[in-house]
Amino acid sequence: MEVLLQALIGGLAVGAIYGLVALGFTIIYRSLYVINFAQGHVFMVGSFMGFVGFSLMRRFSVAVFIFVLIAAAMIAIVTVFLVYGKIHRADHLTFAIASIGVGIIMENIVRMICPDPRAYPDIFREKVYSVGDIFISTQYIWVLAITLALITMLQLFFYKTKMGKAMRAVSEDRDMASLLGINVSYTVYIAFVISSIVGTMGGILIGPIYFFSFDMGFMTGLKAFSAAIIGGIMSVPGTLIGGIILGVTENLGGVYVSSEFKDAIAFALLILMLMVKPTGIFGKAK
Amino acid sequence: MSIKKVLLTGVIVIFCLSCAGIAHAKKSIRIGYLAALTGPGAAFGINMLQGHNMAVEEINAGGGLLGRELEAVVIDDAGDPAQSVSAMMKLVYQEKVDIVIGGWGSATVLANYKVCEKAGLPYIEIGASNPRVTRRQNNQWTFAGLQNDEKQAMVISKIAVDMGYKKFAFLHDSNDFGVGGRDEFTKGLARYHLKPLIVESYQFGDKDFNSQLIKIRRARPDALGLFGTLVEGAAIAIQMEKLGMDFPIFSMAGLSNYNYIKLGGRAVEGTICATHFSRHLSAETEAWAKRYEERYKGSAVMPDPNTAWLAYTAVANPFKRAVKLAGSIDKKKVRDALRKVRWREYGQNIDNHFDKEHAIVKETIVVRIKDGDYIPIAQEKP
Repeated sequence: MEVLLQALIGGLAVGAIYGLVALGFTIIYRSLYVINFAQGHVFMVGSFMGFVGFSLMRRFSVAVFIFVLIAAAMIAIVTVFLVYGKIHRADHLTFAIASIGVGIIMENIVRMICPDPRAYPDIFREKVYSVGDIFISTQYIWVLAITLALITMLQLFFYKTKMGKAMRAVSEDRDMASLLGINVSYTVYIAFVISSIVGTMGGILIGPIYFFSFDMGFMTGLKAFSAAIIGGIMSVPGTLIGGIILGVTENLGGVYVSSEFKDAIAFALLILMLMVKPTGIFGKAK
Repeated sequence: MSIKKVLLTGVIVIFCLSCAGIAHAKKSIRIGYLAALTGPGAAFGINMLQGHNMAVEEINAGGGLLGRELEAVVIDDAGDPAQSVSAMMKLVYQEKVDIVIGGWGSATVLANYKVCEKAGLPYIEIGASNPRVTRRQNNQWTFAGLQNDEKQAMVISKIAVDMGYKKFAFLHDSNDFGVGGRDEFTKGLARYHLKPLIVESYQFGDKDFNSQLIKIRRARPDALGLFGTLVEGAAIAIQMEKLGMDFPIFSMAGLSNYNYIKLGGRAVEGTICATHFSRHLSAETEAWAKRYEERYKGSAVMPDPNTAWLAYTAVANPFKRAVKLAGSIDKKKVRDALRKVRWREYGQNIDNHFDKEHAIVKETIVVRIKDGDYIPIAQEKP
């Protein structure tokens, strides 16, 4: 029994992070109907900036945190200006290929600066609590708490703020929204900025649990994409739940089926979902 | 000046430059170095390159070998077997090196040695400890500059059992290095009629070991045999701490690089592993380690004498002596000389040489991590 509970705890934490990174896919897909394959690498760059900033301070610092988020936003703005802004009206394939290219550039720039894995500074003042044979690390608690807070804020943004409503309007019908006076290209920038920020937050949360390394974006990006598909790429809470389902399945599969083929189990779930209900658990068939 | 004259002058200039180029190339002895300089093996590859370059510099400062300068030709293979084969082909056929001293990762070397065997080029590999690298039919050109897992496992398993541990769990990388380590340690334990309680595995590059560790914890072992390299090893040590698993880790030399301590922090204290070198063995070893650290102070990757030594000794000992003995850099002559030369590495109590299988003969050094350093606790010939 404690094996099951321990696996669930680990699965919840890593699943929450997949969900967070997956939100980046969801937000951009909802606004523009394109998949941003650089999202995994955005997560990695965010983690890297956090690593550099917090290592300099040797502990958590609000100033560094805000600075890293602003940097993430600026990277998003620059990428839209240089690349995506010119092609987001093009077909999906063009965008997909361009985003893969952006991802490769990000990965290799960081690779040149930091070629080997690094331990993240202890920003959560890590402690391990035990309840009988179950061990809970405070890092996991932080991950879950922050992810829930972020989801709540995002939902409030999309349903209670003017900008959020404007973005939902653009997602429903771009041309009509434009005719009604909504600045569509502004919403494109906002979509990428939000997606960069949630990816960066995921990167900072995961840093202390695993190490930072320049190649961490690829696998996490794939899994986050799977999470978005499983939960429903058009739904914000759906994406988070998709992440948790993926994380828990991965952990339980690793314990009860095979640890070596943990990743295969996760992707098998993706393939199953695409075959049975491609819009995801919480997706509405269009 | 007419066009003809300009063209003729141009051709002559280019011809002279290429002659100068060829003349220069004829002069230097080219040593190929191939290893992971990026990715999870980067710490090893970069430290080994430092040792390699230091030896090359010192030999050149002393007038070179056979009156010729040594030149290091360096290629990164990211520790990936597929990339490594093409990288080796580039070294052998394009760069046309005289010998390859390098290689990291059993899986990688087991893939790339074939290129040297086919081309007839001596290869002193310094990064793969799977015995299959040299123990095979018709091994003509490959020499193992580091002690293989079979020998390391004999010594480590003896130490572990002598310390009183009986209930072992194994966690190993599913690549050739991890599987080899697992098999050799199993053989080592079998001498004492012991078997591991549970064996789990992971993929090179994995970050999360929760599922494997939960299963291992359930089996209630008193020691963990860990067969893999330092990044995953450090992550495993940290995740073990988070799951309340506080028994010691035993391993081969895959964990004997200082980056394991840097990444793992407090969690890796008490790890016992084999290593190829320790600065604490003698005044000579300490002096060398200091010299190396001075030379590479401030490099992006922390200088690590344990790892750098492997490359340094390969160049400064068997390679240098073999070329001197052969009196030339003819590949066959150097290979034959490598089979004969003897030397003694700093800190060793016995003479070192390559045996019939081209495996190195030396004492295994066993270290334990205490207060952030690798402290020798035993030194024996397996």
